[in-house]
Amino acid sequence: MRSCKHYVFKLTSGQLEQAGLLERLGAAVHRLLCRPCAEFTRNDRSLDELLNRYRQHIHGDDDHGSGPR
Amino acid sequence: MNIRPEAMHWAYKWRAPMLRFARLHLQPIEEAEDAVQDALAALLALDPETLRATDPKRYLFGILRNKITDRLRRKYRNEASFTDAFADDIDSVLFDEGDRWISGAAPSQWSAPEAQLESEQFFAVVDLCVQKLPDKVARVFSMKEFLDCDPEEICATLGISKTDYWQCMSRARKQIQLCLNQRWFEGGRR
Repeated sequence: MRSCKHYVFKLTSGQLEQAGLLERLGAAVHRLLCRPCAEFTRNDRSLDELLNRYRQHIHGDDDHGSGPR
Repeated sequence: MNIRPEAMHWAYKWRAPMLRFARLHLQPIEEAEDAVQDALAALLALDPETLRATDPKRYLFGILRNKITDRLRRKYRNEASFTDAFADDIDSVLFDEGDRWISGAAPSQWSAPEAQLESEQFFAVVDLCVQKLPDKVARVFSMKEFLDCDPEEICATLGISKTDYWQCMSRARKQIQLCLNQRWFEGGRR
């Protein structure tokens, strides 16, 4: 992966989740070599759980699903 | 059994959380209130058998989600591009000319983030960080994270390209991480 900026964009935009094996391997290597990116990535993963709980908090308690119009 | 009193009870019980949720996506507040009323009206119009077989909260938020996306679609269908979604450039704060982290700009790893999840004060900070997102970024981000819309639905609803979508999501997640870092994890508020 070319640079920290490029890696962080791929991660935070959601593109990395959909990426092919080679690109994900490139990202993993970048994380191994770059501590700030590795820590940013752990925080970003924690953010998913925080946002999930925040959404439940907004709703009052538990989760919801989609429904009819 | 008459189902109407039950429906009225659910409507009364869940109206406030529904309004809080709708206000994340719709402004002014009157529009959020209209969406909530539409959802409650749909609940009251439901036939009793269907209503009895339903988890009311799940059903209500499901209806509300669709009422909100309908309104967003109508509102933003003809809006111009998202090229001006954010006037400032967060990347210039984070990365140097070689696209590496600027010294001290990278957030350090959060300490026990899961331990914060029971704190009302923490959720107030999350709320603040979400509210501070630029408008268009917030619209994309909240549709993805809080309405569970997929990227294609978001692009179609808001009339944006996939590139705009990626830019908005990236901006939102970077800004929220930085905000939480400054205001909570390194801000001495724990």
